[in-house]
Amino acid sequence: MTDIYKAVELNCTTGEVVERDLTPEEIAQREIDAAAYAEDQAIRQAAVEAKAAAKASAEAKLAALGLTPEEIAALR
Amino acid sequence: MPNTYNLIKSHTLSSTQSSVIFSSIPQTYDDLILHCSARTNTSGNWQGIYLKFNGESSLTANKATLLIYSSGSGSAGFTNLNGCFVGDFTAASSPSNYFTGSETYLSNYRSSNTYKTFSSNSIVMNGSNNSFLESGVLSWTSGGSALTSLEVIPGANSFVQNSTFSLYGISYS
Repeated sequence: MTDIYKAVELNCTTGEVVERDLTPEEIAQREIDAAAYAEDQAIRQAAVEAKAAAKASAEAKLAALGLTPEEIAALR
Repeated sequence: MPNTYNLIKSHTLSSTQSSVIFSSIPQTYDDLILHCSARTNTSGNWQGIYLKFNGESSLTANKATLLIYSSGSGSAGFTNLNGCFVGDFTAASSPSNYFTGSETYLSNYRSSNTYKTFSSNSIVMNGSNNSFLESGVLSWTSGGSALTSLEVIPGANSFVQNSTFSLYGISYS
C-alpha cells in the first residue's frame, strides 16, 4: 500500500498545508511505533479473550447449578 | 465577551494519509482541543489511533485507557505505545459513511516545567450493536518542553478521504 508513507502537515502559524512523503527517518520511526502498537494491541486482545472465556465458563457453571438464562443475565 | 474557544487549524483530507501533523502550534493559548472525525482503511471494524508530541521517538508518560462497550467494559494500559491513545476509529469493514468522532483535551500545553495531562473521548458506532465509548488519559512526564507539534497516527494503514482534523485553542479569559 503506497499511501502508508504519506503525511499532511498543517502549519498552525502560517496556515500552509503540505502533503508530503515521510522521510526515511520518519518511516523508520513509524515502523518502531507500529510494532509497539501491535504489541499493546496483542496484550489488549488477549485480555479481552481471557475475560470472554472466563465469562462463558462462569455462565456454564451457573447454568449447571440450575439458574435460568434470565437469572444469569440478571447477574451481569 | 472574550473569545475563549478559537479555531487554530482545520483540515479535511482530499486523499488517504498515514498521518496528520499540526506543526508550529501557537504558544498563545492556555489549553488545546483536538477534534477528529475520521475513518481508516485498515481491514476489520476498527483501528486504534494515537498522538505523538513534538516528534519524540519515545514517550515518557503515564497512560491508561478505559473502554466502555455496549455490553461490559474493560481497560488497557498501552505501556509500549510511544504516544497517547485516542481511541479505536471505524475501519474498512465498518458500515460505509461511519466516521468516528473524538475529542482530546490537552491541558497546560505551553508549560516547560510541569507535567501535561491529556484526556480523550471517542465513540465508535459500527452499526451492528458494536457501539462503544473509549476514554484515555495520559500524563506526559517528559517535562521540560512546550508542545509545539502534534501528530495524529493510525496504528496501521491510513486515514481515508473526508476525514477531518481540527485543532482549537482555549483561553481562560
